[in-house]
Amino acid sequence: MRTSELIGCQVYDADGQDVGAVHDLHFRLRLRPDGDRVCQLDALECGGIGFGHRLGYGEHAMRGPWPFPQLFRYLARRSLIVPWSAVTSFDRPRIDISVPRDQLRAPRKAGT
Amino acid sequence: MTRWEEDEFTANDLLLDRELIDCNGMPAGRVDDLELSDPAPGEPPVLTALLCGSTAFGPRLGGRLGTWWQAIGRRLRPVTDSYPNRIDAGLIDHVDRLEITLLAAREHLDSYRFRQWTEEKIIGRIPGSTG
Repeated sequence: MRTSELIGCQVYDADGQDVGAVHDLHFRLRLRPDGDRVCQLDALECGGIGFGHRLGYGEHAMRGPWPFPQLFRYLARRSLIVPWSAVTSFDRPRIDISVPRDQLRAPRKAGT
Repeated sequence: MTRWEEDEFTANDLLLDRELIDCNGMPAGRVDDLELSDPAPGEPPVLTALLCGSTAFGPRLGGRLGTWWQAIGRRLRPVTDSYPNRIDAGLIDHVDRLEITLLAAREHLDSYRFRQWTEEKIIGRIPGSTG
């Protein structure tokens, strides 16, 4: 499986409601029993338009130039985090999850 | 063991589009896509390799432009090259926000072959290019 297969997929919640398109992947390091660390996929970040995230504007990491930070943050305001454990089926371009949209949390902002 | 700058991160923050630096400090390519293991039931996918080159970047672009990009890359690659260029996760030494350092020399990586060919066959023949 490749990142490009996941990015752009449309995510639907337990009620069939559209959550948005995948525009970023969240990873977490995990220690294996053999002592080696692996980088595991933890969650999918979904929302309307992900171009701002790709440029670093979605997590308030970029300051300028005006008016791009304001514009990209506005476009990314509805982004949601979908834990990989909630994914029930993946058949590109559709991902189904087992939780309702209103139980998903928003991405953590930088510095919080 | 790979040294990571952070324990939690996103693909756009730390991996995608990052410069690859080989064990001698020389540029060796750029991360265009990531390969993940096929998820087993109840298990999340894990990062298995970094993918480089236009055959990796094309699918990320998507649409007709991505298909063209991938097709051009497929035709330009040497016949012995893997498709796409793959750098195993075990070869990653250090990951930070600016670059990814590898344990191998770039001469041993598929991602460097096209650049090497360009340097030898085109850039190297331009008068004055070798200093």
